[in-house]
Amino acid sequence: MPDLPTVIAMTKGEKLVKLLGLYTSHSSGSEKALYHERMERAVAELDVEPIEFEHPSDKDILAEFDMASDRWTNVILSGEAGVGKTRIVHKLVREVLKNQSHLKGKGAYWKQEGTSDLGTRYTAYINRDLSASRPFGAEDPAAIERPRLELWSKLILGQLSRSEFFIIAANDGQLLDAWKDYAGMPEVSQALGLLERCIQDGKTPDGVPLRLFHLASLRTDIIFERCLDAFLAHPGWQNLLKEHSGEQDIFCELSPLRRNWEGLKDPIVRRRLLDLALLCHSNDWHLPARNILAMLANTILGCSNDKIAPSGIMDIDGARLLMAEGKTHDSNLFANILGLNLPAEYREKFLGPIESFRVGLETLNQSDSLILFGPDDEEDSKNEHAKIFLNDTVFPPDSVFEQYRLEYINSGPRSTDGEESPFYDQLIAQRRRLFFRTPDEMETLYDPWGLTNFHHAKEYLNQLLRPALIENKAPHQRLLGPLLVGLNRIWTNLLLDDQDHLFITTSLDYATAGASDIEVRRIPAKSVTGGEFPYVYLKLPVIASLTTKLPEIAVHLREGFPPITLPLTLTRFEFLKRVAGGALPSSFSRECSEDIRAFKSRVLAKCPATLTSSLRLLRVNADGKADIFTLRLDQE
Amino acid sequence: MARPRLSYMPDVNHARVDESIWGHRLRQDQTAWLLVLEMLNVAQACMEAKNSGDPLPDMGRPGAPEAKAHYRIRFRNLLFNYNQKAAELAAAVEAGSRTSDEAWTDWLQHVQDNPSAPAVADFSLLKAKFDDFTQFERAIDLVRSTAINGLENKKGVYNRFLFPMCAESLYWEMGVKNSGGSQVIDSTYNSFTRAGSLLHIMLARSTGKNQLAPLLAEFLNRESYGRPLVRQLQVPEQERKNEPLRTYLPYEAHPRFDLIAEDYISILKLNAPHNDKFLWLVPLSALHLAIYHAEVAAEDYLKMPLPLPLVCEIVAPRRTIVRQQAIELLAEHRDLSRRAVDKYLMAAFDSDEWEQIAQESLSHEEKIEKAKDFISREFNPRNLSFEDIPDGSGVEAYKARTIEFFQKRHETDFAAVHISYCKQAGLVPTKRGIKNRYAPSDQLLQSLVLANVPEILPLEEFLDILFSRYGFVIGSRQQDAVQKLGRDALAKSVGGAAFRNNQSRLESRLKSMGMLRRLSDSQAYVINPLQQSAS
Repeated sequence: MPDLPTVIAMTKGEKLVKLLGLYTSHSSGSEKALYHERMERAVAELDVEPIEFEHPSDKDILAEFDMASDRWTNVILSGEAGVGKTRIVHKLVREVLKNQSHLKGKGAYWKQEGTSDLGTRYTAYINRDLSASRPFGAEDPAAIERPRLELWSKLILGQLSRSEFFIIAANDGQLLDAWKDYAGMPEVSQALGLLERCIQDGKTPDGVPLRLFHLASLRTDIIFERCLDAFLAHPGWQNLLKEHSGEQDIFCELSPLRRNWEGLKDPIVRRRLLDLALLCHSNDWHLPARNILAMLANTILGCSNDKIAPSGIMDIDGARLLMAEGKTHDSNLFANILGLNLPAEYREKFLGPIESFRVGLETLNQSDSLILFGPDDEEDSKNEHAKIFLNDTVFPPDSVFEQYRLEYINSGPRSTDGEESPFYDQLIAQRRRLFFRTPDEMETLYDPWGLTNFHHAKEYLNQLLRPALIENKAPHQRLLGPLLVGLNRIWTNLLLDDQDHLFITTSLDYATAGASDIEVRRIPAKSVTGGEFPYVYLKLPVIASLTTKLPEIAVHLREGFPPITLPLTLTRFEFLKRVAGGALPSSFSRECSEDIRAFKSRVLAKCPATLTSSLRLLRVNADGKADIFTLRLDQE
Repeated sequence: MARPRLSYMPDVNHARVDESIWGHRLRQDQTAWLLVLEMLNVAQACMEAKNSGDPLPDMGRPGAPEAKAHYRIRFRNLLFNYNQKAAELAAAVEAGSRTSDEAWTDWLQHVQDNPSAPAVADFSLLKAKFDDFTQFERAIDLVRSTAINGLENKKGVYNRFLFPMCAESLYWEMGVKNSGGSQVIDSTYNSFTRAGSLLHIMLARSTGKNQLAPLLAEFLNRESYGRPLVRQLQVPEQERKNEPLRTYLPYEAHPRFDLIAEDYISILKLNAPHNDKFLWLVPLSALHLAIYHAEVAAEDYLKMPLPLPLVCEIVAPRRTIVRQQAIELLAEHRDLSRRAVDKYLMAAFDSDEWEQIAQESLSHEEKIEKAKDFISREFNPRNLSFEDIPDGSGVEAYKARTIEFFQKRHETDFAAVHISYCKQAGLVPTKRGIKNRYAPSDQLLQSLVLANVPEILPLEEFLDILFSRYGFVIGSRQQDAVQKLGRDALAKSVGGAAFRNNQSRLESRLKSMGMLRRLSDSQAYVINPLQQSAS
């Protein structure tokens, strides 16, 4: 933090840039506990508005405390680091318990007394970070903790006066650890049982004075959108425009900060980001709010020039220098979004889920053709190319690439091991732009998701995920066919091509490993049977799972019994589609194969071996359909 | 010095050093599959023994049932010897150059012309059991295709074993040799090393025996898709192994026996296709025996605290302290049995009886006779020769020769039991060019989840279970536990970042295998996918 005179001398716009630097900082110490407290302090010291957004849970949490009618309860806020637990605790303390004093000196755990609107005295026990509050280093930690756990447990069990309650924020599963450490006490052990039940069921039984909020279970794209809006709505941007948009100033039209900011406001970029977030959610890949804000700040400040920004992040002076040296292209919007300016280890840590998409590392023929040959293709793609690359109003084209391109067209790639060449790196960079900037009307031809690890993400998003999550609409049964082909191929190890049936097979030895060609059951798709049991179909889950409500493949063997289901995560969908398209199951991922085989195991367990008069051996004919060789069994 | 041992079995003849420490016997040249097949054969023979029906009587005690295993010589010849001719003939039938009846006649003639086992077999009964020759050949091919891989090279027809898809597919090891111009059964075949018989006795002596016995009986008796086909391919056979299936296991009880039985119970109860349970029973059986071999040496003979810490690397791209520890500890544990054998031998020669022989004022010859008699009674050595000991040497020379003999014997046949069973279990990768170390395979991890996770379990608790039952040290959570073993240096490194990363690699591996999820408090839970109810 700069000293006071420096802060006073800064313009409001400069203060925002300073603040963003703190969000994206990855120097040592920045990952330690009490992150939120430190950010609050920084905001106060810089005298700048915080980047604040309303978390979708805020309203529900605040509603648990009605000081006008003496209604309150014990609240536990859980979730991994960075989901905003401390933020909401502070909000509760300030807005509901009316404690306006500075909270920074409070430590992790304190007791706070007050009076409700009706004049009732209450005592609140506030724990803004359970793990930080635990006295591990103390000489006799139990002496400090035992009474705490006993008190909290009694509150949960309703054994104390209603005038006392707690608010506890707990990180990553450490909640139960605290209770388990003192489970020797009967109240603690009883409360632990209750807590475990609440966590597994995702709700509290009636009559128990406890509410559990799991902040990480909310849809990532919703959190992302709120972060993005709050980020872009910060008044500091307008200050920057007013104070620093003059020629050669740090927010002039050609400045990296300005260009990155404009890029982030672009609707196509925005939509792609939100789609990425939603897809992360469908895969149960967590992207907490803190990481999202860091990602956004990095998009503005990221810089790949080692000399000007050794940490990968530029400050105001760095931005000035970049402009002065004519190297503004070293701060590239599309690379920054993906954190490519950051050290790999740190990038993996806070943007791991995004990294898993491998944007630009995979490709489609037509996309690479557009990038390489588009400018020369008078008839077809010249205009399309110009729209995304040369004439892009959002982010200027990369002047360096044109040289590489011409050289490639005239003499082929410079080195033979193409993967390593600078040309190849440049090509990947162009693909990243294509990914973030392909407009709707061109998506059919240049599917942006074809440039990622998840070629079928577009179909997954539009046909399955959005209808399910947003419109609560069951998926269309016509989507099932290719998924059945994938399932059949993984389950039988035969190159079957049947979209209408699920083949449940075994072999004489293992049922789920190796080739499996004895037909046990052949389950038709629901669209084929018209609803006669048994059938296989796509459906929405009856009860939404705790984290995600994903469409699922359901094998319904008998009326009156629940179907056996496979929730379709992005990874599973991609895997099944690729196998259906001809990929070998083991080539995508061994673990995915195991996962799909475990599903087969569950289905087979419901189809026990029965006495039959023959074995039906499955063979694939030239059309990819199943031929049966019947081996008759002796009936003696 | 060690835990009390049962007396030797009068009708089981074996040397008494390695066998006295671990039982008769755990040799290093055993595959995990043969181990389990041998155990199943014993259990099935017990079920069939008169008035029994119990698959788990204690076969290591006098008075155990007269259980005898099947050889199924004709069935084995049908599958692995006469199959080739059947395939040729079936092809001819399909090509139209022979009728089905002609093929039957040719095949039966071929069998008659090429006897390969004692006594004459009548395979003609098979003809009535199949619609036509092609069906017959497909049936052979299908059943034969389940033969367990990796056993086919060594000893021909009689070293091929079928996947244990049903009771009728089990048979005991044997060979055929020529004796006086005719073929006789060679029962000294050594495909089965008696390790499976030991495993059987361990299960029989476990505290879980009463729970396991009915599960195992039901499992052995299960209907399967292969069963009718196997029966259909069998003609009457009389031969069974002559001697009953007994062996010697020194301990009446041992915590390891209970742990093995618990894993067997969990796996047999899984909601999974029955045959698939071998995917997990086989590695788990080998794993427990590997640990048993090292821990009996460590606890009973070297007075080390248990569990032995098996630091497991979850494979990392770079060399880490975890890998280093996984290499060093494996080397340390591999050496425990050698040290235990030394202790055992020293202790035996420390006995009063030996002292007396050495001290007594007898004639030289008498002394030597007494010494030889002591050695023979105490160790029951076979092939131990004193012939080249120079005349006039004292009893110490006989002692030294005996010790050397058993040390060498241990080195040749037993010293690598821990590491070779670990390899069989998938705990030590067998890839060439890398140092041996503990690094569990996906299949072993899967087996451990399926055996130890009731339905859902916090990851930390799963790690605690892996430590207490198998000694696995994967994450920094085990620091305190390792400290309590008195291993300060190891505990220190376990507390560090390398082990934390090791744990997160385990987490992502389990996750991608569909066996880990984060629930509503962000806690990572290990999921047993085969315990989930309907959905």
